[in-house]
Amino acid sequence: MLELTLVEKSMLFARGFKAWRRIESMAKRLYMAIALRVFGAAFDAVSSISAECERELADWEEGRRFALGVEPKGPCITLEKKGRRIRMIGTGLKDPHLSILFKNLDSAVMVFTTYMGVVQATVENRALIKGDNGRAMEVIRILDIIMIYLLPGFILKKNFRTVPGFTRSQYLVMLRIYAALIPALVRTFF
Amino acid sequence: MHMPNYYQHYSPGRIVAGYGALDKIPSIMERLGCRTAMVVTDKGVVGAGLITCVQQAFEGTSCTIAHVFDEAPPDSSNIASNKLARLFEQYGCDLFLAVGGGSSIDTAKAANIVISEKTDDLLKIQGAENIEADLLPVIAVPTTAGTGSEATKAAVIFNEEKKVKMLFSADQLCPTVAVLDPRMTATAPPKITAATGLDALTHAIEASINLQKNPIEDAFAKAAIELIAKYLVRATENGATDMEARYGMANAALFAGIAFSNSTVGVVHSLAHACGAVCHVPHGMANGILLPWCLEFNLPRVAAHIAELAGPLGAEPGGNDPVERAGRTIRLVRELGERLHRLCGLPLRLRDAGVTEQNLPHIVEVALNDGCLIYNPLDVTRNDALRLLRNAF
Amino acid sequence: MQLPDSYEHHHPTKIIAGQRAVSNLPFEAGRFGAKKPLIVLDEEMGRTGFIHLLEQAFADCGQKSGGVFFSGERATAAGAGEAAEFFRRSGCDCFIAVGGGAVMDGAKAAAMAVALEGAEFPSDRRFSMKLPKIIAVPVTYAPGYQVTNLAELFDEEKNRPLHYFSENFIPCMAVLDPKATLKASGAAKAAFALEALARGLEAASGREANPIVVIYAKAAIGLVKNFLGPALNEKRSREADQALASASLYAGIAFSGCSGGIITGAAHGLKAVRGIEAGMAAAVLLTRGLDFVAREMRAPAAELVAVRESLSLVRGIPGLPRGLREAGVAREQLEKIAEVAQAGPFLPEDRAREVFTLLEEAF
Ligand SMILES: NC(=O)c1ccc[n+]([C@@H]2O[C@H](COP(=O)([O-])OP(=O)(O)OC[C@H]3O[C@@H](n4cnc5c(N)ncnc54)[C@H](O)[C@@H]3O)[C@@H](O)[C@H]2O)c1
Ligand SMILES: [Fe+2]
Repeated sequence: MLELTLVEKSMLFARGFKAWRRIESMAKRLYMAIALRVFGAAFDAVSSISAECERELADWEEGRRFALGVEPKGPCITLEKKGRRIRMIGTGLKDPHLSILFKNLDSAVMVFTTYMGVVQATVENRALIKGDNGRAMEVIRILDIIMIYLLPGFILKKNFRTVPGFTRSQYLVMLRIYAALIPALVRTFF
Repeated sequence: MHMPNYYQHYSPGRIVAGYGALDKIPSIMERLGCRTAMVVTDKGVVGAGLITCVQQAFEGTSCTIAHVFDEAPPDSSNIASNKLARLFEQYGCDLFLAVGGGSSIDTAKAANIVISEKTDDLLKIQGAENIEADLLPVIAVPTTAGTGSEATKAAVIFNEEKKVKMLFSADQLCPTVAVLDPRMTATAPPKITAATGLDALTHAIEASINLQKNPIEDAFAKAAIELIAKYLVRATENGATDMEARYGMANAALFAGIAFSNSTVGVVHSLAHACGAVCHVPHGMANGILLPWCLEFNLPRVAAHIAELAGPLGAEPGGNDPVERAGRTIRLVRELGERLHRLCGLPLRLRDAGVTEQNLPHIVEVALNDGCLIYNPLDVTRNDALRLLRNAF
Repeated sequence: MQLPDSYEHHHPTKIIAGQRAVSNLPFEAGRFGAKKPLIVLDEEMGRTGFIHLLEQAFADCGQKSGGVFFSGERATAAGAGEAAEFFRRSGCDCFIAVGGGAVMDGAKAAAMAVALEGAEFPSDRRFSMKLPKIIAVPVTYAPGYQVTNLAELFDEEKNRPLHYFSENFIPCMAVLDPKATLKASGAAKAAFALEALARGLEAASGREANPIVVIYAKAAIGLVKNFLGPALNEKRSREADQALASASLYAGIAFSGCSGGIITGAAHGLKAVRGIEAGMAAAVLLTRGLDFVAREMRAPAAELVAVRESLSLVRGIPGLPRGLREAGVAREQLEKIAEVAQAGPFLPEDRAREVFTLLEEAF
């Protein structure tokens, strides 16, 4: 017998059925497809409002593209720098200069449910990088900014090495970002 | 002992070490099913007479050296690698025999990618775990005891057209065989010995304190630190004759290489890479200068990890307070740097290594984009980086 | 650290250890060119359903395994032939062995049978043919050798084990997943840990020991020293279980790099003559014979201290025999056990005397 918790045992039992396995894979894929689009919208909203993001983007050349997604042939989005913001230009790999791809669905789901932070996922070799390492660092810094604005404090405390304190004006920015997120979400999904 | 939530460890290369290990190269080639080697090296190594030693090892065997490529540039470049790849195919070689420091070994690795991925544009392949092809066999014979490139899965190549550094990290890049022969490092001048030795020390120390720390990398790192504490001063002082010290350092660099190939490095390397890129400070020299300052910076988070290294560095046992013990580690690192400074004039400050105060902000910007930062125990902000550089300036 | 004048080391196993390691297996296997595995299991692991985790991981990548083969309690030529046939028929390209030493041997023997293409198993101990890739998923607290260069095959006609050594037996990858941990009694945990200690101690004590082997050995001993206590005392410590799993893996790597020694030799004799599991044997031999072992093997001092500390943790655990007599060995058998040990593959030099003394000490 294995040393497992009750939940783990039930999951193992369920996975004994082929149909379940297929459904679980599909569910994880679907979740990732949605989560990536939400992030796509968040890139747009945050980059158009946050000053920190603007400073980061100042050095980016126009038209730089990067992709986030899951190997092999899993869900994936491509984003592009246009003017002063980052826009999602579609799903799938659209000729990106840089891609950050999770090695498997489980790892991606752990990160996109905020169970695990980006730093920890990198430390655990859960993603591969195609392209320039420095650019990957730039993308990760922007991802950090997005998460700092969108996620509640207790998750940040768990997933970040240091959590920067928020000033009052940053709370205002946060509200504006939430407001901008809604139209951005509408754009990405419809 | 620290047990992480998750770790990976991989060290697929064959290690052949010993006094006279060089002579085994032809028989190793036969075991690999290879006959025709392309030697990759640089002029300094040729000038030190080391290639002659290698050629002698081939005498009377069925293996041959088809060509000696002695143009590996100090920061291995894409142009050199492309040229090497063309020559490799022209001469009908079946194996790279890299004889040199990190530069020569990385040049061979890059040419190997060019051939195996059938591309001459390395930009397309750069990244982490982005190589899918099987590579050709590489035998690495390090002539410096420092980079550990003979056992790492990384290669750093400078793109001369775009003026950017390209980073490759993939399991296949670990050389098939590493041959450690103390004869090969005996000719390295004291300053290079000291600087490369501090590079190895930095690999070992960073690997055992950063976020990818795991029990097996710890063991490799501690073995390396012990050997460096015992042999680096001797190798710098009497490098031409003290073969025991040379052999000890060659092993130390290898062990440190295995450790950091799996658990990466941290802020010291990010800053050192940037100092190299902006001001051409030799890699080991920059590491040696920055290491104690960066340890102090990380101390609040990882005092216990730093404290564990005092023993391997030669401190007598004792002291239960981790912060105090970590302080002991840092003092020992400083003392080692100072002894090397007295022995061969290795600088202790960035300003003596060719960095000017005006360079610092630029170095910070470059350093913040360095991938190693992710693995550092503490987050490094612009201000942190600048403060560290000022301290070491 | 003492460096020998020359040494050679090669142990190309990629270790992937920790949370959801199994989810990562298909991707990493793909990098080794392995796309369609034959999964080798034993009945017990079959009942646990662990394999569904693997199947899920493959389903997540849109792949499928080539099937499951149940290896028996011990590997035999006939079983290996059957597995090889299955392997060929389903177009597999690698083996995944899930379990303890017996399953690992089953997979290695099957890989040999694939390479032999129907020819007889050779009589020579060294086996040099190229094999299909083997991936190990060692199960924590399952007994036996896991990631080593050794395969044990049982010769049913002559009723004795055959041993083969080959670099090609070394798995290309070892995946340690916290979910692959058996519910185990204190005695089983102790045996698992002490076997790693014995291996580690032996590997670290060789006179001309390869320093990389010593590094693995020291790491194994350190892990046991630090985590055996929590593994025994805490209700469920994933950290400690995983640490002991790593220790056992390192010990296997260290073992592959040295030729064995008197503990492994004596344990082999005890298994052959009295059917005592290697882990249990190592536990008894170490508990009672450490002083002798320490004198004989000139073990490094720091490691000896660590071994002593670990041994003090397992004193009095129910189910762990305190001596060979309690384990069911008769004094008259010691001579025979030493003889069998000497004839086995773990004592290249003549050390029957020492083995006999060790057995007496541990009686
Ligand atoms: N792949 C990796 O894992 C890795 C890690 C760290 C650094 N690096 C790379 O390694 C390079 C630095 O390598 P390095 O520090 O070994 O220096 P190096 O290879 O550039 O050599 C430095 C100088 O020393 C000379 N030299 C080397 N050995 C000698 C000897 N035995 N006798 C006399 N002269 C000798 C060389 O001719 C050269 O002029 C950098 O390009 C860096 O990017 C790679
Ligand atoms: Fe370095």
